[in-house]
Amino acid sequence: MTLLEDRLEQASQDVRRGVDRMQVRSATSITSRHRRQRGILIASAVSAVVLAFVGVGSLTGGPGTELAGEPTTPTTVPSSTPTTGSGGREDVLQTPNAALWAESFVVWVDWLGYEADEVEFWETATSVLAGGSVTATVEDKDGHMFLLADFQSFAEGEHLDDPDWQMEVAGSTTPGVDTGEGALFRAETADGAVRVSLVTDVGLITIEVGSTDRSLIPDVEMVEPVALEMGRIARDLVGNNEDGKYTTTTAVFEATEPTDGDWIQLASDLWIARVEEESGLRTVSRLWIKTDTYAPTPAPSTDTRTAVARAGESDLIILVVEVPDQPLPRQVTVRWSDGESETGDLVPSSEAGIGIVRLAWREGVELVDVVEAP
Amino acid sequence: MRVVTDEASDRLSENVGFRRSFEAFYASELKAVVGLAYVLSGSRAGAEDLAQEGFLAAYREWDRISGYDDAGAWVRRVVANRAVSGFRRARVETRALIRLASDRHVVPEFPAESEELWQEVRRLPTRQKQTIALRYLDRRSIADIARILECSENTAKTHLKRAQRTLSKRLGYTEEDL
Repeated sequence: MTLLEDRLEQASQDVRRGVDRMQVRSATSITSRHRRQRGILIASAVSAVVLAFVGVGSLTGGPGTELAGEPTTPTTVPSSTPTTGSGGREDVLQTPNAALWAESFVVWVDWLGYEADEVEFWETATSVLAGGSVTATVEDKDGHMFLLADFQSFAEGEHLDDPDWQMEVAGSTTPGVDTGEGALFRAETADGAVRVSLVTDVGLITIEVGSTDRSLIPDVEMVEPVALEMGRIARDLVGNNEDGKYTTTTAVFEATEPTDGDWIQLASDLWIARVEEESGLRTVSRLWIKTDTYAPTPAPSTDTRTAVARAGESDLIILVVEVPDQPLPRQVTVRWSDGESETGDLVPSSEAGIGIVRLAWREGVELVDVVEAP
Repeated sequence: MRVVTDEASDRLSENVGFRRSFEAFYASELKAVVGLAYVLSGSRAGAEDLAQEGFLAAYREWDRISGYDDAGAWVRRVVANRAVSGFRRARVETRALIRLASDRHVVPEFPAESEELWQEVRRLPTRQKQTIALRYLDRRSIADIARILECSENTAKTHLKRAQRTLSKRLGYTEEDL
């Protein structure tokens, strides 16, 4: 055994001993959490209000203002003036951004314990809304949960550092808390729904969670990190538009309106989702989300069902998605600019219909081609 | 009087069996997975929560996963990936800090030499640090590591070698020490 291995063994023993001394929760914590998350309820009346909001709120430019029949503090929209002709603001509302926003929101939903295929996006929820709003709303399959992520973009020069203005924008009577992303405001509404607003220099982010069972609504402290994260994503969206391009790997997401059965791949990370539509509802199933360590590469691929990305410093990752009449290949070959090539076995992922090939990234040479082996 | 039908009785037995098999799995694997979560995330407060997330995911899929030869590998894959995601880690940590009124569920401190070593491991690229943690802390074979990380055995070996080389360099070991 080498000195390094010896030290790793010792350090591993230390961890094992330390963890053995820990008090850990029983399996009941898992089974009860599973039940609790599946049991989050919200009245169907609320869904109706939300549906109405999604359809009508777009005209008023404001996020949902009622839950379970109880009026909540309305979020004051900074400006309800038309967005046309206001600098880069129109671009923020492009459909890819709306979709990115919605997909980002799924990260949070996933974290709350819902599987991606339990989430339904309303068709209208991810469309471009008037007043500079991009809204994602989801409910679980039972139709009892309500989550909202709303982004009202500011026009150039609209944002002010004035705390009074920010309070007005956030619809708050108390000053916000300064964070790296902007001023954070929290509001617990009469019916127990939790709303967190973040006023950043690019726009107003509102995150809201509602349920008929108040005990099941997460603490506001749980919702705040989500608002901050969505604030960062909103900034990225605006940044994307300033650059005038998206960092998609294989430009699969050229179609701005994915239709039934489409696989879409989104920028800034390696996400693949299958879109299914039924009766006007868009279901995002089989969502694949990779961590922020994945950097898209400009590598070409043989077709739009193959995504290529460099992962961290040393991995090359290739995802292949199964499509009708085109099963997953057994192997994928990559070719490098120095003439070398390497073939890797496709390993089925834990997500059905997606296979993965992992190879080592090579420095100093270009990735020329990625080919599915017959 | 409540009448329990045969069908209901069968269903009840099935549910009890389902739950018992998961509980046994949880009890036998939890601490090792907490250790893995800590080593990869560096979060004392959040390690158990990360592990719990992995087991929660397993519970949802237990019908399927319980039939695997090594269900623990599936949980380790989930936790190994979640532990290195900055976003998830931050959220889990936030939740853990909110929840914790005491230190009961916090991973205790280790000798300074071990802490320093794990810090160096966490500085490695994602797959390399996962490989090191699975190899030494979890005592997994190369074949196991390849299966957990969904890569070929050769790739796993490459990650391990590169990780060992980088660690040796950073820790001041010579080639002979390898």
